[in-house]
Amino acid sequence: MAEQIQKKLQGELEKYQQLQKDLSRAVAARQKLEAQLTENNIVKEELELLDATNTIFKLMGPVLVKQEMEEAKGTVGKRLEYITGEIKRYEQQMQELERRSEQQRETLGRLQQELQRGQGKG
Amino acid sequence: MDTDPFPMGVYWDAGMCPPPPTHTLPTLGGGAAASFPRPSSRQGALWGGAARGAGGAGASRRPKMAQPVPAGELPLPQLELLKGQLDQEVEFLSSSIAQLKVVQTKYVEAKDCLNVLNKSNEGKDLLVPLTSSMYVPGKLSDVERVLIDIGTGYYVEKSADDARDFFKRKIDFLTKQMEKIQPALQEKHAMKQAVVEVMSQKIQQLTALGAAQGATTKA
Repeated sequence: MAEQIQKKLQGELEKYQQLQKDLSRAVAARQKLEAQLTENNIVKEELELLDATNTIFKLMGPVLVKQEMEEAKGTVGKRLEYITGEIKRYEQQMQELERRSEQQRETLGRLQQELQRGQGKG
Repeated sequence: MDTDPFPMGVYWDAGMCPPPPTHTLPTLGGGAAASFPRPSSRQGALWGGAARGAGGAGASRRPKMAQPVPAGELPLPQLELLKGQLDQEVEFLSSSIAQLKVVQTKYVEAKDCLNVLNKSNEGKDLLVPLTSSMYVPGKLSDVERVLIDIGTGYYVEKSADDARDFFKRKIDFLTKQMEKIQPALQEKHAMKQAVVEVMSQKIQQLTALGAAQGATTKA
């Protein structure tokens, strides 16, 4: 009987560890996105400060391509929207993962108690 | 019956109790929040709760506040783990500050380079790098306009004065970020010191206890 619980416990433990791994991956991805968000915000601010006298270039591979102010601002704006969307998505994902890992923890605790009770009897 | 198949250690590794502090660490402009169970111990607040260091971009990680446990009551292995964690965080924060410093130095250098681009140097001969080991002779033709990398692959042509302003703004921004990280770093350092103290106390107690027991068994 204790063996069964032990095996179940092991299984649940692995599931929990998997959840933790997923969570940390999501956290890392979100961190990266935040860095990109900040950078794009900086670029957006800089573009605001420009006037018609400034030429804007975009680095595409080894080539600097001339861009229109509007185009550049549009591109950066769209990228910002995309990044904020991604961050929201990851936030939701993380909340879900945390909820599930919380549940998993409870399950593990319960199984642990069962095991101890089983051992205590035996 | 004394062979517990799941010794305390395993659960600690699985992050069972207390739950592992989850934290993000500062990015170049991002935020950081560390979470530890907040204690109310007679040894004083050994753990600073959700230390929101390096503020910024609202990176509010959900603080996993477990039941507050006074650090003085933690068993030694857990204290070790905590110390290891604090160590890691201190390391990370220090390296972040170092990286920011490096970037800041680059901007300072760039700003200084602008000073070379003045009227008196116009028309002078110079060597233009084509690769890292090949240069071609050239002439300094335009001292008014410079091309600056503003990030994410965008380059902007600006006047020398605007460029100087840009660099100054960047340098100030970086200084601000570094100043945000500094207090968090110090706090973590202080926490680590406190944990180390508690650990050494425990070790002393244990060795004293061991010696006393040894004495009684001999006697």
